[in-house]
Amino acid sequence: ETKLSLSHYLPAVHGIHTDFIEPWTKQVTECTGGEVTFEIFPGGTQKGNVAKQQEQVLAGVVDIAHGLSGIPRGRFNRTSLVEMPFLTRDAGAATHALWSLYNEGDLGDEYNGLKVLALHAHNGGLLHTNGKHVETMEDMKGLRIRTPSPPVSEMLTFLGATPQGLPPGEVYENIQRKVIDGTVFPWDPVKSFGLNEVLTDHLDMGAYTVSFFFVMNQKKYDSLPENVRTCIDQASGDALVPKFGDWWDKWDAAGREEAEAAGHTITVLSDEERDRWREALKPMIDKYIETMKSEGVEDADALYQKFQDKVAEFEASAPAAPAAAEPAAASAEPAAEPAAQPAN
Amino acid sequence: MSMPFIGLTGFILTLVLIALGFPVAISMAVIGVAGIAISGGLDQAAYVLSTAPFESIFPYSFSVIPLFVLMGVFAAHAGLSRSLFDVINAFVGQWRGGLAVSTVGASAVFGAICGSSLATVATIGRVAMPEMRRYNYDDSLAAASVAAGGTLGVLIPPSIILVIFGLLTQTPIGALFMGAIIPGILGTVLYALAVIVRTRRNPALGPAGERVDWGRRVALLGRVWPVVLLFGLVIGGMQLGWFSPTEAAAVGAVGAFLLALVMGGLSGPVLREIIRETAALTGMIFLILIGAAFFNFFLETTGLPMMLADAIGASGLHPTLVMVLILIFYIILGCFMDSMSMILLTVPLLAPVALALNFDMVWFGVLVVTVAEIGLITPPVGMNLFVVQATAPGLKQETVIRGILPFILADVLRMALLLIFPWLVWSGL
Amino acid sequence: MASFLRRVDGLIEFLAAIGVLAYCAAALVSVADVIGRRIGTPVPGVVDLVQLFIMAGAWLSIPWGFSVAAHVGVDFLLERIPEGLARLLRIIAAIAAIVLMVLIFVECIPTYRMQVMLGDKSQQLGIPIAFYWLPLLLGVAASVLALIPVLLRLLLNLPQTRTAAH
Ligand code: NA
Ligand code: NA
Repeated sequence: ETKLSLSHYLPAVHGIHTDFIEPWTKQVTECTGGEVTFEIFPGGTQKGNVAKQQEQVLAGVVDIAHGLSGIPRGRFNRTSLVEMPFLTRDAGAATHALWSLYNEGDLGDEYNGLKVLALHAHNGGLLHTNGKHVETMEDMKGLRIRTPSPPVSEMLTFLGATPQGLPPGEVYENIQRKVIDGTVFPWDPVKSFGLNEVLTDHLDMGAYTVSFFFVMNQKKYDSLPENVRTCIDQASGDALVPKFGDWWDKWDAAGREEAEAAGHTITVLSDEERDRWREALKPMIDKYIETMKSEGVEDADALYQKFQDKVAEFEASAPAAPAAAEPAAASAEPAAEPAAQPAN
Repeated sequence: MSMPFIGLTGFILTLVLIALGFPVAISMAVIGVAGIAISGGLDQAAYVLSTAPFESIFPYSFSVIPLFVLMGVFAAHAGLSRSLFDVINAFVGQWRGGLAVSTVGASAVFGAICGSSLATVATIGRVAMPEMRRYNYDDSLAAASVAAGGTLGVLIPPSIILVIFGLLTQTPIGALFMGAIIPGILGTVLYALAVIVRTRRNPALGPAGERVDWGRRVALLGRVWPVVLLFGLVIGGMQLGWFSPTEAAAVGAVGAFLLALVMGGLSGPVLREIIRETAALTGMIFLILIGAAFFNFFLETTGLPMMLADAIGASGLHPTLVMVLILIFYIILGCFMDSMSMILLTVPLLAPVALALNFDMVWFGVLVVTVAEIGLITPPVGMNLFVVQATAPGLKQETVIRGILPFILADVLRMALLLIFPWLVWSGL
Repeated sequence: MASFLRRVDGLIEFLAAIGVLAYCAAALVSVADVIGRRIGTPVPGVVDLVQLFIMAGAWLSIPWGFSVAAHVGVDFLLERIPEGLARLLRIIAAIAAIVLMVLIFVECIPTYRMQVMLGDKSQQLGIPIAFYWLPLLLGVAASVLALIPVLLRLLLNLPQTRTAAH
C-alpha cells in the first residue's frame, strides 16, 4: 500500500478542492483497487503556502501539488506569456493553449523534475469597483486598483490607474475603507473573499488570465509500480485538462449570481471596446515581451503568437458560447493567505 | 508510539524546557524540529528548517509589528507617553486602578487598528509600563492589564482573522465584523471591572492619587495635543481611507519620530537606546514567531489538533456541551499556537460540526476568534505574557502570571455570557 | 578575552543599528506612497520594498536579541536551585540555541540556492529573491556569533554585560 501526499493553497471549501482534487484522488484510489491512498494538505495548513507548492514537490516534501505558476514570480517565464492582457476571456481556450504548448515542447525546461499532470488557466478577470463605474478606458484614470500580477500592473499603469499589490486576504478591508477603489479578479475569488459585500460595479472585460500547474515529483512517479502509473495517467493529462473550462465556468457562476442577486451593476465590455483597449495596450504588450526576452525567453514573440493561434484554434473548434452564458470572468487568485502567517 | 501521542509528548516536553529556564522561542523551536524529525522524518525537518525562518517574517502584513514597536519606542523616549499619562492621570488618577483601566481602553483602541496582539502588547507595554511604575502601580496589575488588553483589538475591525474565518466558512464578513463589536466592547468593560475589583480588594496595587482640578487638567491637555494628534492621525486616517491598516503602522512610526524630533527629545544616547530597544523587542517577537511556526508544523504533522477536533465533532454531546468543549480546546491549543494558525488549521474541521448543530456561524466565529485570543494570556505559555515581560526591565514571568488570573476570569465570564445570551453577538441581520 | 567579547557585542549592535534603519526605511517608503498617491506620484512596488526592509530589519535585530538575552523565559526554577546547576541549565540553553541557528543556516543555504537558480523575483518590482535571503543568512550567522560571548561568559562564569533590553 502506498500513501501519496498532495498539497494545494486553496481552502478546502473551494471548487479546486471539492470538484477537482478530491474526486481525482478518489479516482486514482479506486483504479488501483485501494493500493494507493492520498493525504491532502489544503490551504491554511503548513504545507498550503501558495509560494511553496512547486518547491515542496521538487524537495519531495509532498508528492503532488497544485499551485500558481506566477508565485513566486520568475519561475515559469514561458508559461507566463499566457497571462498577457486580453489573450482570451475563456478558461477553456487558455487551458487548451497552455496544454498544447506544453505538449509540443514550447515551454522548455520549466517543468524539469516534475511529472506534469495538468496545466490550466482561469476565465478572463474582471474589474470590480466600489462606487466607481467604469465602462471606457478613460474611466480608469486615477483609480487605485489591486493587481494580481506584473502584466496586469503594467496594464493598469498604462491605462492611467494606480496598481496596488496586496495579499488577497487584505483586499476586503482596503476596499471597505476606500483605500483602494477596486480590484482585478475573476468572479470566483470575489465570492470566496466575500468581496460582493463591499463592491458595487463589475466590468466584465476578460482582461487577463492566470495559469496553474498540477504536478508530481518525477522520481516518485517513476518509482511507482506500472499499474499505479497507468492509473495516474488515466486520471490526468488529456483526460483531465479539458474539464477545466467547464469547472471554471461553474466556480465563477457562483460569484456572478451573488453579485446579480445583490443588484450590482454588471457591465460587459463590448467586443469593439475590448479591441480598442487591446489596440491601445499594444505598446505595453510589446514592452512586456521585450522584458521577457531580456529574461531569457528569446523567442517570446513567437511564443506569444503561438498562444494566440492556439486560442483562435480552440475558439474556432468550439461553438461560441451562447449569449446567455456570456463567459464569466473568473480566476483563482491565492484564496488563502500563505499558511505560515500567524497574525497575532 | 501513535502520532497524536507524540504530539502530546512534545507539548509536555516544551513545558519542561520552559520551566527549566530555556527561552520560549528556543523551547518551541527545539521540540518542534525534533518532533517533526520523529513524526515526519528528517527530510521534513530539514524542509521546515529551510523555509519557516523566511516565511515567518516575509508576509507583508507582519510589517505592522516592527513599525508599531518603533512608534512605541520613539513615543516612550521622546517623553510623549509621559505627557500622555500625565494627562490621563489628571483625569482618572483619583480613582484606584484608573491608569490600568485607561491602559485596557487604550489597548482596545490601539489593537483595533494594529490587528496584532503581540505588536499591541509590545507597543502599549513599552509606553505604559514605565508610566504605571512611576505612579506606583504594582507590576503584576500593570503587566496583566497590558497583556490582557492586547487580546481585545482582534475582535474590533479591522480584523484579518475574522476575514479568514469568513473565507473558510463562507460567512458574510460584514456580519462577522458587526457581530464582533459588542463582544469586543464587553471584553473591554469586563477587563476594566477586573481591574476595579482587584484594586478595591487591594488598594496598594493601583493607588489612588490626588484629584486634579479642571484648570490644571486643561493646562495639561494643552501640552499633550501633539500626541493626541498623532493617535488621531493613525486611527482617523485609516477610517477615512487615507491609508490601509497595515500602512497605519508606518504613519505612526514616522509621526512619532517627527514629534520626538520637534519636541527635542532625540539626542545621541537616546537614539542609541531607541535602536537597542527596538532591535531587542522585535528580534524577540520574530524569534517567537519562528519558534511557533516550527511547533505548529510539528503539531500539524502529528495530527493532534485535527484528531481532537474530530473527536469533539463525533462526541454526540448536547450542543452547548460541544461548544464548551470547543472553547476549552482552543484555550489549551492557544498555549502553543498563534490564533491565526489555530483558526486556519481547525476551523475547517469544526465548522461542519457547528453547521450540523445549527449554530449561527457569526456567533460561532466570534466565539472561536475570541477564545483563540484568550490562549495568548493563559499560563504557562501565553505569548502576550512573554512579550509584556520583555517590555519592562526586571519584570518576572511569575509576576505577570500572578496578575493575569482576574482577567482570565473576566474572559470566562464573557464566554459564559455569549453562550447564555447568543444575541450579544448582534450582527444586525 | 574581555575585549574580544566586547568587540563581538559591538559588531552585533552595529548590525542592529542597520536593522533599525531598515525599519525606518520601510516606514518612510510606506508614508511616501501614502502621500505620493494623493498627488499622483505613488511609490511603485511599495509592498516589495517594505517586505525587503522588514526582512533586513528583523534578521539584523534577532542577533541583538541573543546578545542582550531579550528572549524571554521563565526563571522561576533557575532562581531556586543551586547557582552552579542554574548556570549549567543556561549553558545547555545557549548551546541549544547555537545548534538550532547552525541547523537553520545549513538548511537554508540549499533553499536559497534553489530559489536563486529558479530565478525567483519579487512580485511587483522583480527584485531578485537573493536580496531577501541575504539578510536572513547574515542574521542567522550573526546570531551564532552573538551567542558565543553569551556562552563563553557562562562557561567562564563572567557576568553577562547586559541582562535585559534596557
Ligand atoms: Na482589529
Ligand atoms: Na496560553
